[in-house]
Amino acid sequence: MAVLYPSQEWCDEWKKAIDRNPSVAETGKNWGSDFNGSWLFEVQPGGGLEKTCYVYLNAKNGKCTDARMVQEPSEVNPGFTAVGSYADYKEVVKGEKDFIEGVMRGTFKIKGDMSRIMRNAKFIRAVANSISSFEATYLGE
Amino acid sequence: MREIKAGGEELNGLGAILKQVMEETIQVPGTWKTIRRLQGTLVVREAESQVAVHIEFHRGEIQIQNGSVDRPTAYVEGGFEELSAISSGQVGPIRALLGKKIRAGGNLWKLLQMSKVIINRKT
Repeated sequence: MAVLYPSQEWCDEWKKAIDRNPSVAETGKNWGSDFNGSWLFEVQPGGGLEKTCYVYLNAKNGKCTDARMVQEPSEVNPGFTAVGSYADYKEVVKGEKDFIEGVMRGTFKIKGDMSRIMRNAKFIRAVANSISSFEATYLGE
Repeated sequence: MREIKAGGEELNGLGAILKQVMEETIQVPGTWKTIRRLQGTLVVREAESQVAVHIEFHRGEIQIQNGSVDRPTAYVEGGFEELSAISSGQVGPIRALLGKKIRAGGNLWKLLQMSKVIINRKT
């Protein structure tokens, strides 16, 4: 069953998708083991979304430990943040655009320890790929 | 003072990532000793997105800017994973080149010298 992006149901499905992706388990063995490997995705209005929303994702040692909507960024302490518009995130969730390519172009602005990202590039790619591996519905469509 | 300047418009994502990496690598005495003498331009291009940045070296002054330039001293091109593997020190640039994981050109001796600024083995 398709779940609305963004929603808690969608976060739950993303967590499951990450955990059933063998590439995540294989490439993420060291992710988050001795550093804060959590992410906060800031989704800015546009493309059907009226108000900024936040998706929090935590992964450690190749497993997703938490995926949820948060009301305010201050509720969590992410190691990394990614900021982009709903219209751009939507294309990634649909599998029409590549998250990494969006990061390269500056469509998504990321903050955090870039050396960690470079060292774990395959893991980042695997998590990003899992985002479009299940059915979703979208605001504004 | 050791610093990386960003020229022109706001850096693209590749530039923002490399700038942060370079800010760390220039603090390594051995790396800085090599880099501070260099003159020339290194172009780095991510192959899938075709996003590029160029890094100008001028005797200790280093500036990173969006886009490519005509006739750089050296250039390197590869996918995100390959560039990341080099930049994090997981794969040496020569090995990546010989294994055809990346493309490179120009003055290869200077490429090896210049690429030290984007290789952070610390993490």
